[in-house]
Amino acid sequence: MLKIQLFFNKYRSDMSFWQRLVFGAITAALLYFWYSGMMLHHVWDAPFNYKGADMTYWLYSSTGLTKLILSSETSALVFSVILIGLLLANVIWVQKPVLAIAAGVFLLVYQIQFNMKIGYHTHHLFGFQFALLPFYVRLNAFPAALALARLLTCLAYFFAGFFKLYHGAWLYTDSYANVLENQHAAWYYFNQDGLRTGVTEYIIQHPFLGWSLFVSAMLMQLSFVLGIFTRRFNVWLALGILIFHLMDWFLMNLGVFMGMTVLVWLLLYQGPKLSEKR
Amino acid sequence: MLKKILSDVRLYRQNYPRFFIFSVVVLVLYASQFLIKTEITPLGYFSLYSNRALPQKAYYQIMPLDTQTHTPRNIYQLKGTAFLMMEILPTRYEILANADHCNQMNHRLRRIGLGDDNMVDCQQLQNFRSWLPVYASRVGMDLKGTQLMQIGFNEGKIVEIKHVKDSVIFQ
Repeated sequence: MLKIQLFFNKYRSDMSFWQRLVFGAITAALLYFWYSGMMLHHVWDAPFNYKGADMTYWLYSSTGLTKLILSSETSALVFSVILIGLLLANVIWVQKPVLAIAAGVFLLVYQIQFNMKIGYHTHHLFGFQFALLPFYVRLNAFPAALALARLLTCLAYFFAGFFKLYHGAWLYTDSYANVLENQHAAWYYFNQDGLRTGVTEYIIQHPFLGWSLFVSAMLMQLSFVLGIFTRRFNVWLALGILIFHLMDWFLMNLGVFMGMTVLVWLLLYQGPKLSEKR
Repeated sequence: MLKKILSDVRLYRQNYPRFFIFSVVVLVLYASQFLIKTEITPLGYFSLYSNRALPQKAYYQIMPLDTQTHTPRNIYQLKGTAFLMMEILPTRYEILANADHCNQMNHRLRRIGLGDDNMVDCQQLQNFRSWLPVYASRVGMDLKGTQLMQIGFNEGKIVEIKHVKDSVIFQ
């Protein structure tokens, strides 16, 4: 047991190991998106150009990058290849902030441009940006960047729980059962059998079970407030992220968010504390 | 606890002055966007599903319907998570087609003295029905012989089929 703990502790403090794992996981996620028709060369000619009310999208729109990247299917494909190439390069060459920033900028451009071209500001990619933040700086600023990334992660999950508490869905025992019914309405038409159908239908028929799951998720998310003040519960919070996204995939059929689990590295990494300047 | 937090912030500012400024800018940007509610920032990301969901007689989804058999095409057979794209794209088409200047958030922009008055987005959106089969073929689905319809489901059965409300962008 001690040997296993020592093995994990060795890797938990190895920054190069984490960088390779994080960039490798994001590369794998993007290759999966490629397979799923979710890269820019799949949507380059979509009739959407949605900016919403987000200043980031309006600023990006004014740069004229859209015309450059999406001028043809080939230019969009070249962008996709460069993006994957940059992410892979960071798996090979570690601790090169400029290379990490280049990958991060391409990833951000992909995120904004993709969201504009599908007419919806999805959020399945912001976790990647938080996870990459510590790699953008030199070693001496690494603890500070890690602290900021941890803070943003904890805030994102905490506010998710806070909104659930504030908007009051938890006050109604049938609410989550109705969410499931809505989420899988068309799915049930095509998939009358199967594990997901069986389990979710059971929850719909037993609304209290659905309510219990919803409240458990809300409490787990609210517990991220602890991560803002102390690192003592980080392993539990990391476990919470893993379980939450696994359940999100299985119960809600939202496997697209599984990439967010890459955030656990921010909580599992055992590096120097903020007070220990390197 | 408060003392420790203040001491940590002080250390952060002393040890990493440039990164401290960067962090403050990021947090202020997030907070301001959050407070004026111009968009759902990652801080409000999971606010989805936080409101009470009521039971419905029919749960609607816009899907390609086979005009011969009057059955929807199975988007859940598509590779990876492509089914999500086939769920999102038609849904967003209908929402944006019925929004002020095809921008769902225009009311929020107007509230802070801005506003999206461009005509191009709506003109481009008129091409959606001809573009969707192109996209579908890229993810391995043939939409020949189908029409985009709003289909109401309940308990695994079709209970209603309606036309997609998009005439507003063609006016």
